[in-house]
Amino acid sequence: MKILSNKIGIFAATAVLAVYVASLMHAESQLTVGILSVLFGSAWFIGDKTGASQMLDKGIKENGRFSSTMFLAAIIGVAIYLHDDHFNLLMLTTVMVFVIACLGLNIQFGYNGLLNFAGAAFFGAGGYTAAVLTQNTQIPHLLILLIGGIVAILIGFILILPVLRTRGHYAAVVTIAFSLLFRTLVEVSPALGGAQGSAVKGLNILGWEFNKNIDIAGLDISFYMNYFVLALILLLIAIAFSKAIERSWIGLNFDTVRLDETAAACFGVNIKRWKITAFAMGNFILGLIGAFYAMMLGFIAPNNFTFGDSLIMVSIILLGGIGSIPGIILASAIVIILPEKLQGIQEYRFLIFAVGVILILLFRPNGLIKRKMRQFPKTKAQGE
Amino acid sequence: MTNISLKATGVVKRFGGLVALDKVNLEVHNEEVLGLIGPNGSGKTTFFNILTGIYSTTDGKMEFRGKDITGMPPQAVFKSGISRTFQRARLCLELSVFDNVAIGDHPQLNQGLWFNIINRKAFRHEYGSCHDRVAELINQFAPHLSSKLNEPVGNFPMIDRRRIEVCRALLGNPKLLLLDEPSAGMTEEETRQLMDEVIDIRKKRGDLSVVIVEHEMGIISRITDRCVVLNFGKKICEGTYEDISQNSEVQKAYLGDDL
Repeated sequence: MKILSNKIGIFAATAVLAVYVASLMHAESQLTVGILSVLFGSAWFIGDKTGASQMLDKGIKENGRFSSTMFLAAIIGVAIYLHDDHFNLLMLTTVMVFVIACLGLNIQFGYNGLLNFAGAAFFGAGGYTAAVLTQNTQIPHLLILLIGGIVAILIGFILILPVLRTRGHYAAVVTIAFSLLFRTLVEVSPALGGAQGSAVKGLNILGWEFNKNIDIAGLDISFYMNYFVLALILLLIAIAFSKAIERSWIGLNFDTVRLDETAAACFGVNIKRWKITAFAMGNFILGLIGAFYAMMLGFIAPNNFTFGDSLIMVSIILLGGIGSIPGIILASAIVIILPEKLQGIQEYRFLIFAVGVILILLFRPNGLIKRKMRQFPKTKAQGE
Repeated sequence: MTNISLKATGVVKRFGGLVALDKVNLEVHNEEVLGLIGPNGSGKTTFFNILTGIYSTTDGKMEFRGKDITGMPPQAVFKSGISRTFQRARLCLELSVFDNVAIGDHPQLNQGLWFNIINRKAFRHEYGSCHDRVAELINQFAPHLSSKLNEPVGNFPMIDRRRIEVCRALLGNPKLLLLDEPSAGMTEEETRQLMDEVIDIRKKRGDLSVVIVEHEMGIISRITDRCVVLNFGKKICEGTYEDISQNSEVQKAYLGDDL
C-alpha cells in the first residue's frame, strides 16, 4: 500500500485512470458501461475502506507538481487515443466546459457562500453573446469569449442589489427567480432566435478554422480536437486562477465573509466589496465558457439554459465537495459522462442525481473529495 | 481632556419598546483597564455592539481619541483603533489558526486583485511578514499552538479559541480592546492565565486601554483600575472595585431589594 504514496504509485494510478476513462469512452454496449461504472464505484469504496485512497492522497500532497503533470498527461493521452472520434471528444470537452463553469460557480458558492442558482443563465448569457456577435460582427473570436464574460458580469449587476440585501437562502431565491426569468426572456425575444434558438459560428482564431478536421501527416484528427485543446488551456487557466484566489488574502476574505459576516466586518472586511467581487468573478468565468460552449455546439436554444441545468451545476459542486477543485473535476465527469453512456438512465438522470446528492449530503457531507485546508505559499523563513 | 480615550455621552439604544441602554455616559481613560459589569440583560454587550458599529445608536454620541465615531460602520470603527472579542468566541471553525488570526490584520494587507492574483512574488513577501507577526503573537499567548498554525480552529478547546481570539484582536495594534466575557466557558485558573497575559501585553504595548465585560468578580477586582456598573440599561455606579462593591445600589442590583 505504501507504494501509492510515492511517484511510482501516482504514475500507476493515473495510468490506470487514463486506461479506465479511455475504455469507458470507447465502450458501446450498455452492459460494458454498466460493469465499468460499478467497477469505479467499488474501487472507490474499497480504496476508501482499506486506506489506499488516503495513501494516494498523501502522495499527491507531497508530489503536487508531479501529480498534476501526470493527470494532465493522462487527459491528453485519452484525447490522443480518441483523436478521430467526434462524439467522445465532444463529450470530453463538454466535461471540461462544465468543470470550468463550476469553478466559476465555486468562487461564488464554495468560497464566498453566495448560492447562485442561475449558473446556467449566466452561462447562457455568454452563449447568446457569442451567437449575436458571431452572426452580426467581425469581432475576433477570442475577444468574443472575453465579451461573453463581461456581458455575464453586467447582467449579474442587475441582481447585485437584491443579492447584497439578502442573506443565505433568500439570496438563493433571488437567483432562482432570475434563472426562470432568463429563459422566458430569451424564449420571447425574436432577436435571439426565440424558442427555436440561434445558430452560432464556429471558433476561428487568427484564421485557424476550428470546425475543420485536422490532417497531420495522413492522420485524420477530429475537428473537436481544436476545441479540446482550447478548453484544456482555459481549464488550466481557470484552475490556476482559482488556486491563486484561494491562496491569497482575497480567498481569506471570501471564507470569512461566508463563515461569519459580523465578525468579518468587525475586523475591517468590506462585506459588500467581496460579495460583488466573488459574484463578478464567477459570472465572468460562466459567461466566457458559455460563449465557448455555444461556439463549439454551433447552435443554442433556451432549452440549453434552464433552471434544471443550473441545478446540475450546483449538484456537481455538492457532489464533488464544496470548494474542492479535484472534487469538481470528478463530479463533472460523473454527471456528464454517465447519462450519456448509460442511455438507459438518461430519462431518469434528474431522479438519479437528486438521489445521489441526497445520499452524499447524508453520508458524506464534505463531498467525494473534501476541500483541503488553505495552503499559503511557503516562505523562505519556513524552510522546505 | 487628552487623557480620555473613549467618551460616550447620553447613549440610548431602543429595540422597539425595550430600552437596552438609557442615556449612558461613560469614559475610558488612556491605558486603563475598565470593568463593565452588571446583571444579565443590563446592556453590557449591547454597549459593545453599539460601540463597534454592529448596532446603530438611537441617540447619543461617542468619541474615540477626539474623533466622532457615532454611527460608523464596523469596518471604520476597527480602523480607528477599536478591536474586540465576542461573548461566544466567534471564530471560523473550519479555517486554520493562522487564517483566523491573520484577518485581524486586514486593513494592513494589500487587497488589490492584481497584487493578490498576478503579482504572487510581492504577495509571498507580504504573507511572510504577516506570518511572522501572527507567529510572534501566538508564541506569546499560546506557545503550544505555534506548531499548529495550519490546523482548523475547531480542533481546539475553548481556552485556545479564546486565546486565538485575543491574538486576532491584538494583531492590528488596537488602541482600545473590548473583551466580552473572556471567562465564559473557561475554568477560573484558565481565565486568570489569559488575563495575566492580557495585562502583560498592555504593559508592553503601553498605549492600550481595555474594557472588559465580566461576571467573575475575582477577575474584575484583580485586573481593573475602575468599574462601571449597568443595570437595566442605566449606569448606576462608577469607581474602583472597592468603591462599587460597597455601593448599596450595586448590591441591590445583584442581590435584590430584600437584603
